[in-house]
Amino acid sequence: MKTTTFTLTFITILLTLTVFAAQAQEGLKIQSVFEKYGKQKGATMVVLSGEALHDYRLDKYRSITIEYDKAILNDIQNCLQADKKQAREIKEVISNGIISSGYYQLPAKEDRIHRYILFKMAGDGTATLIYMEGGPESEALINRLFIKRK
Amino acid sequence: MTTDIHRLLDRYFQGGTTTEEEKTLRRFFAQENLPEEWHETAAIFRFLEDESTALKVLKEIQREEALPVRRTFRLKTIVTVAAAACALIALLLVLQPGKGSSSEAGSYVWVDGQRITDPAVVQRYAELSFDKVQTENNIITEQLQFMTE
Repeated sequence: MKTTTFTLTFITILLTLTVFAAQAQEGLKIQSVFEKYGKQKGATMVVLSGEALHDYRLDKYRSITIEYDKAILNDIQNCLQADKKQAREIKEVISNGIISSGYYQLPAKEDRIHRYILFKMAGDGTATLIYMEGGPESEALINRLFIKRK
Repeated sequence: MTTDIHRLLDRYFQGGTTTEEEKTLRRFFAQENLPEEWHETAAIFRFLEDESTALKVLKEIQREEALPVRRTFRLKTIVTVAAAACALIALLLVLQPGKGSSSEAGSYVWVDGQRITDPAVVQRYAELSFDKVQTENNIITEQLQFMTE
């Protein structure tokens, strides 16, 4: 009886810590961009998980393409500026003080989850922001995909 | 005095003494240098006194042993309550609206406020979004080429 109680308590605490860890992965400023603009008119938000990502060796994929105005652009730029502070690899193009293209690889967590943020502004008044998570093998694949082959 | 002790002893062994009288007997037989005639009876009283002391010590030990059990129970209660609180907070975090709740699990796409779950359509939009962030060229190569033109 005593063993059962302690086992149940241990499992509960373990599950709780897992949930908190999962929440920590969501703790990026750019998550607010998906939440605020993802479901509004003029925006396209893609959320992939499970089987759909198997071929890409990813665990999570979230993208948003949005027709931006000054306010939205400022919002996204502020989020990127905040999140890139913790990036371990940055590749970006800044035009007139604005990030027009960016690739940010965030440090892997202890549980070996690699996280990536990709961003690009297109000439048609839209901006695309992508957030991805995957295992260590996802890095090579993403680097290869990020540079368009001509 | 000796007669009194004899009388008390008779009553004691017949089970008729009061608590006060038994105290008197214990005090008497606890004395040093008792006359020879009392030595045998004194041994019995000392044995009874020792047994009483031993019982007191045993009770004390049992009381002390009971304390950690109570502490363990308190600790277990605290751990259980803490675990329940953690689980509740975690549940609230998971079910927090707009944070990818379980109702929105799986793959889907929102297009102009409309949710689409058709896997083929979702896949197409995913590929389109990735195409949009790909760099046209290596910016370093591009700038070096410009400098050498």
